[in-house]
Formats: sequence, C-alpha cells, structure tokens
Amino acid sequence: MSDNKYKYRVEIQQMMFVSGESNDPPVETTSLIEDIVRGQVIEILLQATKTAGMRGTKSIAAEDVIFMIRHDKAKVNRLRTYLSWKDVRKNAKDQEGGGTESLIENDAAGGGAGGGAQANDSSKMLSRYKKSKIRLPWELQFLFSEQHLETAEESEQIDDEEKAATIASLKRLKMADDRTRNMTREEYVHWSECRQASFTFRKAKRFREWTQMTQLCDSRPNDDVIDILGFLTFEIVCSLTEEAMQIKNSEERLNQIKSEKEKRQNPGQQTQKKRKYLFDKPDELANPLMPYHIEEAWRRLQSTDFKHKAVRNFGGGVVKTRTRLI
Amino acid sequence: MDKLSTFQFNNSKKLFELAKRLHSNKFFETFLNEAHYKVLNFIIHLDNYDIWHNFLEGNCSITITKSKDQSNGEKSASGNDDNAYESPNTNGIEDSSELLFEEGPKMIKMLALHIRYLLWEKAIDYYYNAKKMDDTSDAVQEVSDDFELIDTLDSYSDDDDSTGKAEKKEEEKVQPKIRDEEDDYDDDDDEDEEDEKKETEPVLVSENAEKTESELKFNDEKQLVIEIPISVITASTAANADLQTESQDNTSIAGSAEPQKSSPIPGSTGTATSTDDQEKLIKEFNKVYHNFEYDRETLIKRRRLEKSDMQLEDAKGGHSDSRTSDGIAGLDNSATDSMGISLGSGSTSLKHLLSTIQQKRDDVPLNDHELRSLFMDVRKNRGKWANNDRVGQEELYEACEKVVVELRGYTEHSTPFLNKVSKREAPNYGLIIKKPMDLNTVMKKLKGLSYNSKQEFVDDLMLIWSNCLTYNADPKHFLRAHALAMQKKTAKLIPSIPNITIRSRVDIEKEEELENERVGTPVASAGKSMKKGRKRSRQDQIKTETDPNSPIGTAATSAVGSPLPSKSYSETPGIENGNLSNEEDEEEEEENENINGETNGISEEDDEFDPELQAWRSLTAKSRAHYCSERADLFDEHFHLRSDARAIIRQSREMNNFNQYLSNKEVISKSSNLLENDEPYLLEYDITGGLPGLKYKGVDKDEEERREQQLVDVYLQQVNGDASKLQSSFVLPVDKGLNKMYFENISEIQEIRKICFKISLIRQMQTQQFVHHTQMKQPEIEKLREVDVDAASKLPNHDPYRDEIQFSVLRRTMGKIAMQTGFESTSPFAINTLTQVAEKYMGNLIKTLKLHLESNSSNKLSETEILLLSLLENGVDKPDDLYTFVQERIVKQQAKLKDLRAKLSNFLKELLRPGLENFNERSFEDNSEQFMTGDFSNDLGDDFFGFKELGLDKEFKMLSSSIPIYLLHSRLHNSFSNSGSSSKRNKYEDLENYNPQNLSAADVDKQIGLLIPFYSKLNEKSKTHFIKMQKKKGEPTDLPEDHLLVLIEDEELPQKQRNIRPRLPPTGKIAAVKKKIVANSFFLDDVSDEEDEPSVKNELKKEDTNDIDDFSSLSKVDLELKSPTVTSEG
Repeated sequence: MSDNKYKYRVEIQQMMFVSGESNDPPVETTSLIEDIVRGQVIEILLQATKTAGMRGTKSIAAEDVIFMIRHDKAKVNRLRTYLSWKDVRKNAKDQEGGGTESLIENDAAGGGAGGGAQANDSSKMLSRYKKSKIRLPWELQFLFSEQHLETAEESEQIDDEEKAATIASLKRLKMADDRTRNMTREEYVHWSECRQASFTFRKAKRFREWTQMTQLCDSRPNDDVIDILGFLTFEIVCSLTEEAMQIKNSEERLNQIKSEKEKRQNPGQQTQKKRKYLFDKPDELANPLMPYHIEEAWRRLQSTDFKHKAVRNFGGGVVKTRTRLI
Repeated sequence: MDKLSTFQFNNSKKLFELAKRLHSNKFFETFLNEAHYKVLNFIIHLDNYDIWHNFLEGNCSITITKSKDQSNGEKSASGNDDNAYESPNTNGIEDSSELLFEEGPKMIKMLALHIRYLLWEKAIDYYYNAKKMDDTSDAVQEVSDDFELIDTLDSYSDDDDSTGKAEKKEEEKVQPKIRDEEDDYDDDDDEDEEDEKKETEPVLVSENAEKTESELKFNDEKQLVIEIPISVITASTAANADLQTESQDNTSIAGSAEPQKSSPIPGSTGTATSTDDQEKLIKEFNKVYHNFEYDRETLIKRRRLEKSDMQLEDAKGGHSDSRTSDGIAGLDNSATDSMGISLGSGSTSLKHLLSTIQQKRDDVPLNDHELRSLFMDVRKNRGKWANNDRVGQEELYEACEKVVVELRGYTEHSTPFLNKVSKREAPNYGLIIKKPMDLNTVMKKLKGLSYNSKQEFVDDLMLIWSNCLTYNADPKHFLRAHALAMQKKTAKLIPSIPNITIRSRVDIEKEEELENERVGTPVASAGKSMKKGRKRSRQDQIKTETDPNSPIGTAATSAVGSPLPSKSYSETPGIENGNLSNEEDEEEEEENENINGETNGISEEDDEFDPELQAWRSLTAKSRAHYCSERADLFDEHFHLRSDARAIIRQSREMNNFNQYLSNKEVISKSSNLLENDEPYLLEYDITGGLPGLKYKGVDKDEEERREQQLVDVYLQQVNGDASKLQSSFVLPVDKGLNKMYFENISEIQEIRKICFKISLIRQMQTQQFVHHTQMKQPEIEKLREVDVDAASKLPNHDPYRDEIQFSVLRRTMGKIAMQTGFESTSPFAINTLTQVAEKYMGNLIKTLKLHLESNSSNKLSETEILLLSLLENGVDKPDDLYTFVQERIVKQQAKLKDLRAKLSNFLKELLRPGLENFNERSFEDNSEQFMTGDFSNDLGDDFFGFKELGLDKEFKMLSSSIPIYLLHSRLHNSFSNSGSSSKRNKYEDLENYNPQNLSAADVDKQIGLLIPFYSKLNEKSKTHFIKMQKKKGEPTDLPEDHLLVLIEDEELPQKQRNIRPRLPPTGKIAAVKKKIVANSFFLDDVSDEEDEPSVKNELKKEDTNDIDDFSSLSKVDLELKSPTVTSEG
C-alpha cells in the first residue's frame, strides 16, 4: 500500500462509470484524476481553513466548505439535498433502528426503477420525518439579528432554490434512468454499486491520510465536513469525466470527418479496407479516456473566465489566479 | 484746414517766414548738427527769399571760401593744411566742416530735405493739435507754441500777400519757368560768374538783403551757389567761445568776492543747457520709427566697452591701495595743518555755507583748524578724489572722470579708442606715433593721479584723436570719422572741466605767507579769492601758454575753448606727410580686416548728417545694447531658440514707461525719474512693456460670489424660494424603475430591522430582571431619501461632470446597493473603496467599448456586437445575466423580504401573545386578573411599561389596553405581589385564620353612624335575600330574629346585586373616570365587566341628577335661607 500512493482507483473507476465512461479507463487516467482530486481537496481545505480563521475559529465548519462553492448554486443545492438526506438517514437510524434501512433501500430502488416522479414523492414522504432544512449563513434571513421560528408548515414549503435543485436532480435522475434502461439486472446492480462509490463513505480514515488532513488543518474536521468533501470529490470526478468525454467525443468526430475526407479523396483505399475478416479488430475500438483527455478537461475547467479578471482589464501585468474549484 | 495750405501748396515764402521764426526760437539748433545749423543760420540771415527758395528746392550748391581776414585773428590759419595748426577746438570743427561740407549740391540738398522735413513735421503737429484742441484744452506747452506759431503764420503771410501780391504772382510765374528751364538754359551761368567776381564775402550776417540778392550766382549746373565763408563756421564757435570766456571772465570779476562760485557755474550751466537740448531731442525720438539696423554694431561696441571696463577694474585693484594710503597721509597732513579752511573747492554743497562763514569769519570763535576738522566731519560724500594735500584735485578729477566716462560711453565712435593699438593690428604704429594714447590709459593715469592740471588731461585726450588722424591720413578712412566725432565730443565736454591746477598745500601756504607778508592785510575773506587768483596765475606760469583769445587781460586764465597749441601737435603734420604712403597700405589692410568698420564707415556718412539720429544712437546705445543682448540670450549659436532660456519678462517699470508714453504721447526723457538707467525710453525695443495689461483679469472671489448670488436668486425665483425643489439630473426617480425597487427593498429591510429590535427587546425583558430604558429605545432608522448633490453644484455655472461630483454620485449609488444587499450602514472607507472599484469597472467597460469602436480592424463589428463583446470581456457573459441578476437579486429579494417581514411580525405577535401551552392556573394565582383586562395600565394613566415610548402601542393595539400575563408574569410577580390592597390576603398570613364575625341585623345600630345607612340597606337586602332563599328552599319565609339574621356578604349576593366598590390603583390615587371602550379590551370573555359598565353608568347618572337636584335645592336655600333638603337627600 505504502508504495502506491494511488488508493482510490476503484472508486474513481466507479464514479467515471456513473458519469458515462463505460470503458475501463487505464491506470494512468485514474491516477491523474486522483491527483487532481487530491489537489482540489487540499485547496478546499486550505481555503476553508482561511475562511474559518476569518470567522475566528480554527476548526472548519460545513459552512466554510460550502462557502467555497457558493457561486455554483446547483451544486450547493445538490449538496444541500445530500446533507438533508444524510440527516434524515441519521435520524431515522437513531429513532427506529432498522426501520429506515428499508426506506433508504426503497428510495434507492425507486430512484433507479420508478423514475423521477416516484422519487420525488418518496422524498416528500420522507421529509415528514424531521428533515431539517440546511440554512446557510449568507442567506437573506440571516441578515437580521432575529430569526423567526420555523413552523412545520413553513418548512414544508419548498422555496425556489429547492425547486430549482429538484429540477436539476430530476434531470440527473432522468439521465441515469436513460442509461440504466437497457441494463441487465447484473449491470444494474453494478451500476447502483457504482453510484454508491465514495472517497469518504466508511473510508474516513483513509481519506484523511490521503489528503494529509492533519498537516493542513489545526483541528480535525468533523464528519459533516468529511461528508461534504466526499460529495465534492464525487462531483469533481464526475465533472472531469464529463468534460473529458465531451473532449473525446469531439475528437472522435473530428477524426471521423478527417477519415471521411480522406476516403473521398482516395476512394481506392476504401474498397480495399471494406473487406472484413473474422479475426479483424472490432470496428469500434474501445477507446477509454486517456490522460490527455483529462488534462485537456482540467485545462478547460481551470481557465479563468472574463468575470474573474474584468476589473484587472487595462491594468496590465499578469493576472494571477488561484486554482479554481471544480 | 486752410491754414495748412502753406504746406499744401509748398508756399516757400510762408515757409521762409516759419523757418525764420523757428530759427529765432532756436528750433533748428537742436535738430541740426553744428555744421548744418551754421549753414542754415547763414542762409536765414541772408534773408534772401530767392536763395531760400532755391535752397528749399534743393537747387543750390555750396562752396566754402576761406577768408584770411578772420575776425578771430587767427593769423596762422591759412590754406587747407593750416587747419592742423589751429587750436584743437577750431581744428576739430573745421575738420568736420571739411568733411561734412563737401562742396557741392549733394550736401545742401540733403540739408534742404531735412529742413523740409522739420518744417512739415510742424505742420503735422499743428494738424493733430488743432484736432485735439477741439476736445482738450490742456495741450502740452511746446505743442501749443507750435500751434500758435502756425496760427499766427497765416496772418503774417497774409500781410505778405497783401503787400507783395503782384510780386509774388510774378515770382510764381517765373519760378516754375526757371525750374523748367534750368536744364536747358545756361543764361544765368555767365551772370553767376560775373557775380562771383564781384562778390564780396558776407562776413557780417546783418548785411542787407539787396546786397545778397545781387550775390545770387549759379554754377554751371544751374544751381544756386551759396558761398559760405569759413569764418561763418568758425566765427560762430569762436563767438561762442568768446561768449563763454567773457561770461567766465565776467563772473570771475563780478564774483571776485565769491570766487569759488565762478568755477562750477559755466560747467553746470553748460550741462544744464545740454540736457535741455537733449530733452528736446528725446522728445522728438518717437516721431521717427527707428529700425534695428544699428543694433549689431552697438552691441558689439558695447561689449568691447564692457571688456575694457573690466580691464580697468582689474587695474584699479592695484591703485586703490595706494590711493587709500594717500588719503590717510592726506588726513595726517590736514591734522598737522593749522591754517586755512581749504577744503576741496569742488564741494558745491558747502559753497554757500563756506562763503557765509568767510564773510563772518570774525564772529566764528573757532580757529581755522577746528573749523576744517568740523567740516571734514560734516561733509558726507567726500568724493573719492578728495585729497586734502592736493588742493583742487577733487574738482578736477571728478570732472575729468566724468568726461572720460562720457567719452567711453559714446560707443558710436569711441570703440576704436578704448584700448591701446596693438602691434598686431598696426605693426608700424610705433614708428608713426611716438606717443600712443587711448581712453583706458587716460583713465588709468587719472586713477594714478598723474594729472596735475586740466591742460594735461585735455592734451592727452586730444592726443588720442590726433594720433588717429595722423596715422590714418587718408581723408576717407573710416577711423577718421570716428576720431573727428570724438574730437568734437571732447571739445564739447572740455568746457565742463574746471580749469584747475593742482598744487600741494604746502606750496600754497608758503605763498600765502609770502603774500601776507607782502600785502600785510591777511583778510580771511579775501584769502580765498587770492588763492584762486594765484592758482590761476600759477597755472599760467606753468603752462606758459599764450591766450590770444582772451580779450580782457586779467589774471584769469584762458577760456575753455581757447586754442592751446602744444608741442605734440606741432610735430604731427610732419609725420603725417612723411608716412602718407605707408598709411594708405595699412588702411587697405585694415579695411580688409575689418568689415564691420567698413559698414560703420558707410553708415557713418548717413548719420553724420542727421543729428537727431545720431543723438538717438548715442543716447540709446546702452539701452539698445541691453535689449539686444537680452534678445540674443534667447538664441544659441545656431540661431535656434533656446528652450531653456529665460523668458523676457515684462517689468512694471517698463510698463509704466509704456503707459506714460501712451498717455503723454511723448518719450520719457531721462529727467523723469521713471527711468533708472538714464536712457530715454525706447518704444520700438520694448517688446514686453508694451504688452497691454490683461483687461480680463479672471474672475476673482468676490466677483464669482456676486455672480453666483445672482444665479441663485434667479433659480430660487423659479422654484419659489424652495431650494429643495431644484433637482439635478442625478436624482433618480423614486417612483419607477430599479431605483424604486431598491428603495422598497431598503425600506423593507429597515422595517424588518425594527421588528427584529422589538423581538430582541422582548426576549431581553423575558430573561433579564431589569431593562434599562435606554435599551428600550429604538435605534432611529431614518427613512431613505434620494439625496441630491449640494445646492451650489446644481447651479448651471458648476460643471456637473467634475470628478468630485461624479464620484459622490457614484458613491451614493454604491451606498444604496450596499444597503440593499443588507448592510445597515457602511463606513466611509469601505464605501469609498467600493466606489473606486465600481469606477474602475465602469471605466474599463467604457474603455473596451471605445477600443472596439475605434479599432482599425477590417473585421467591422456592428454596434450591438460591440456592446455584447464589451460586456463579455468585462464579465457579463450574456445580457441575460443582467436580467437574471435583477430578477434574482432585486425582484426576488423583494418578495423574500416581504415574506420574511410577514413571518417575523407574526413571530413577534406570537411572542407577545401568551402561548397556550404556557398558560396554567398558576398564572392567576397572584390575583392578577385585573391585569388581564388592561385596566391596570390604563388606571395608571402613564406609560407604565414604556410601550408607548417604544411605539408598540400603535402598532399592536393589544398592548395599549391589556398586557399579556405571559409577558409580564415574571415582572409583575416581583413588583406587585406586595402592593395593592387586594392581594393582602396572601401577604398577611396571621390574618388568614381570622374569621370576621358575621354581622346580624341587630348589630346594625351598633355600627358607626356613618355606616348605619349602608348597613340598614344591607339589612334590607339580606332580608329580601333570606326570603328568596327560603322560597327557593321551600321553607317558610318568616324573618328570624334580628340578632339571628345574618347580613349577607357581598360574595353571597348574586352578581347583579353586589356592591360596587371603587377600585383603587396601587398608587392610591383615584384617576379620572375612564370611559372604557369595549372594543379596546382584548379579552372579552369577562362578563362581569360588561355588566359593571352600565351599572357604573347608572350610578353616575344618578349622581348627576343628584347634582342637579343639589343645585336646585341650593338655589332654594338661597331663597329660603335654610332648608333641610340636603341632609335628607344625603
């Protein structure tokens, strides 16, 4: 173990599978992704420590981490739902012991098979369990010194953000549904297993070691933070993979256009190649994501947009930017 | 202007009249050079109209005849060569005359032209003054003189016309003929020749006209020949000299009593007259526009002079020491001296004092020595030449120095004579000139005190010029002209030097002693004059000079202008002759060498002619040189403007001069103290002083203030005096657009804050025992207003696009945004930073736009594209982003805020309302029902809990009438449990077991009288009650015995029959009866209240009627004096 610093190959593979890479990516790719993820996590931790320091505490709170990604509203909302579900799960476990297990399973199954509407229903149903809403300190109501008590009915009301989040998650579920539609049972089991892949779930210790959290943070971040980080790492891998997939697709399209052009230019070769033999290579090569795809994806995700350097316009000099959090 | 017809028609007769008159006014004297003047003088004195006419027409030639029988008795003067033998004075003049009077028509033509110019100039003056006279009466004296001159001229000429009209006509007929035929006919020629023979020279100017008329002669070119005897020229000077000598002699004779006077007088008067002339000349300067053609030479000459000055300065260093030591020695001598008060006689300031002292010498108790030392102390400005030991040195040297300086300063001509002739310039100079001399040497000698008399000094000076004339024998050599000019100048200046021979004091004293012995009358007063006289006689002895000019054979010395032949001069002619050939060669060389010199020579010819110009040139040389050098400093050696050169700045002095010139229309002379450097003001050269002062000197503070005040008034009138109605364009409309939303959001936030404050206050009241009233005070949140720029900036004369205003407007907007985002307030520092960021961002946006608009790219973008591109490059990916921003951050924010406010106010209400779950029986344990109704705080009549102060009463009506027990229970428990009569029961525990005896009907009478009616009433009630109860029970209704009948308590009575007790507040005061509004009470479930109400009212009504009864009964009482009604009713 010690000689291999890459510890999450399997998880990363699973995550990539969930986000669309059906082939087995080579080790180089996963290693690269792992490096990137680690760097991102370290960056998050560092910045969160800084924010916590500004608040006056040394320990990172969940808000600090969320604050890092506050501009990505969709992600924040996803995270929120994730956290609230985690809460629900925890409470249910606390209260009824085994009762909730079935619910979660039900949820997972429903989410997979039943589709969006059902999942939504079940979530509503579940929210009757004490699903506490996660409030972020930069929300409007915290502008003021006093907060009103939330009534039951109020918490049941779904505000716009939540609505948007649900719509986004519905979209995701729909995508997942499309992908799983033609799966066999075994495949689906594999898929659902893959969906549960996490850097942190039941691997908190490994995660801490991997990120060398003890060196980075003064105090041990609580489980919430670790959970959030787990969620974020998942998101990072997903977005990286998706971006890389796009790159790969466009690359393939370009290749195709090129080959077609070549074919048109010298039609003689076309006929020669047309013949197929039994032991020929399959037509469609399984071409997994290569490291250069990931690199390109990373580059694209890191490029600073105008928004972040607009004020520096006409100022001259090098615009320095820190690593962007994916 | 018919009076000017003289000039218009060129009426020579009238002009002659005018000329004559001007001549008598000595007008020409100032404007013509000496020779010219003399010629003119001669012509005018001929008084011959024909000659005048021809002269004026330029139709004459001039010849100079030298007469041998000159009245001056210069027997030695004969022929051309004789000139040299004459006295230096006349010599100079004659030389000049020789040079100037080139016989022939050329010179006389020029003179005629000049005269014409002068005469016509008068006409111009007249013309302008006549014009001027119309409006202003105060004309300058001189000008008015001219005016009169011409004015009267008319009448004169009219007389002339009347007398010799026919004659004149004839002449006029003839004259043109003559003019026409001049070229063709030679008739007159013979006549002329005849005349020539006949002619006798007109020695005396007073010869009659007839004679001169006959002398009219024409040369072969048919030009009138005017023969001028040399004597005319010389005689005048001689006469002048005679005059001077005479005057001097006269003064010396007349003033023999005061001999000291005599010496300075001629000099001073001479200078006085010269300055007067100069002034006249200066005044004429501006009638001619001088161009700058002479400036170069002037500058060059000036520089040379300055250089030589420097040399002199260096030389002086050595001399000064010796001089001071001399001075000390002199002082020592004077100290040892015991006789005579001979201070340098040049001390003109003390002249009169000295003379009076001399006159009253006997009365003065001091001896000579004391007097002299006294004077030494008193005399302030002893000249640098003053030397007690050498009598007369001060006066002599002062005058001499003046002369040398003057000569040196005469840069027109003096330049070649400043320094020694170097061997390089003239290798053979030493051979020809045995005794070289130059001005600097003279100066050095002067400083070295090597002159002992005027004559020595004059000799040296004259030596310079004669050296030059000797060396440069060619009459056309340019240096000769300079030398002659200098000679002339010297001749002019020499008379100002007093004729003093310096003698050492010791000699004088010795002589005095001798004399005293001889005469035997040592009169102090005479002593002075004697001294003077002796001095002169001594001078005579030393010089061994002959004075042929002095007509009076006194002991007085020769006149200044007298010819003083000296050995050195006598030697010169021989040398001159001998070296003529040599000189010519050298001349050529020199001419080649010195191109400047040539140009000088050429220019010399011209200005030799015009004394005015000459005067101008010499007088203004210094100023011009100064101006030129100033200008030259502006350029570098390549004639490029030097960028770092000092600018020519106009000076107030020059401006004053210019103004003076403008107002007086004449040049300021040096006599006016405006000029520092003794030079006339040069209009042409004054490029800076002539700049007119700026009319518009900017707007000063007061003016600005005034104008602004006016503007303010105007604008205030427009808005009827309400400045706030004036709105600048920076005020955004509050009723529409985004601004409205911002405002609403901000006020919403403020409202929420208020609610939050109340909530927190209530929470505090719940948790804390004591809340200080300051904590209850709501922080004042002022309503947001659209703030305009300051009133002054709204005025149209203020630029609204100034940085400050723009920045503050932007800052205001930023503040609004910050408030809308949720900041309660912002520190100025933060908001300034924010504003700067915003400023930068907006600037970037505009810059990007501009860049795209002005790009030279061939790929032209449409305006929309440019806008989109600029937005993109500045962080707005698409315009939709802006929309979503507004939607998300403002519109939705508003909705959210409203929602939040509603929630919070609900929460507040809930806080104020007792929670049901918290209500239990114990809440009422403390007998606090009354508080529930709200009577309590009402009865208090004041704002017991400070709610009114907080403004809560208005917002939540429930607070005003009732206080929720939930809120108050902790407070009230402490504060009121021990007060209030009604709660006594709990408090006095020892009374708890006390059971008051029930009163029976029998006891009624035992009560105090006051209560008897009450109890009897109660008794009645009890009886009826008893009967009722019995009836209910179905028992017999017989009343028991009185002592058995227990009076019922209030509590036992049915509700309606209960006795109403007045309620007292804890304070014990009975407040005014309040009409309770039913709706005000929040808790309406209490039935008794409602029932109480009418009963109370009934009672009140009853009382009212009682009052009325009382009133009527009282009136009855008044009527019937005594009535028992009151008591019976009570």
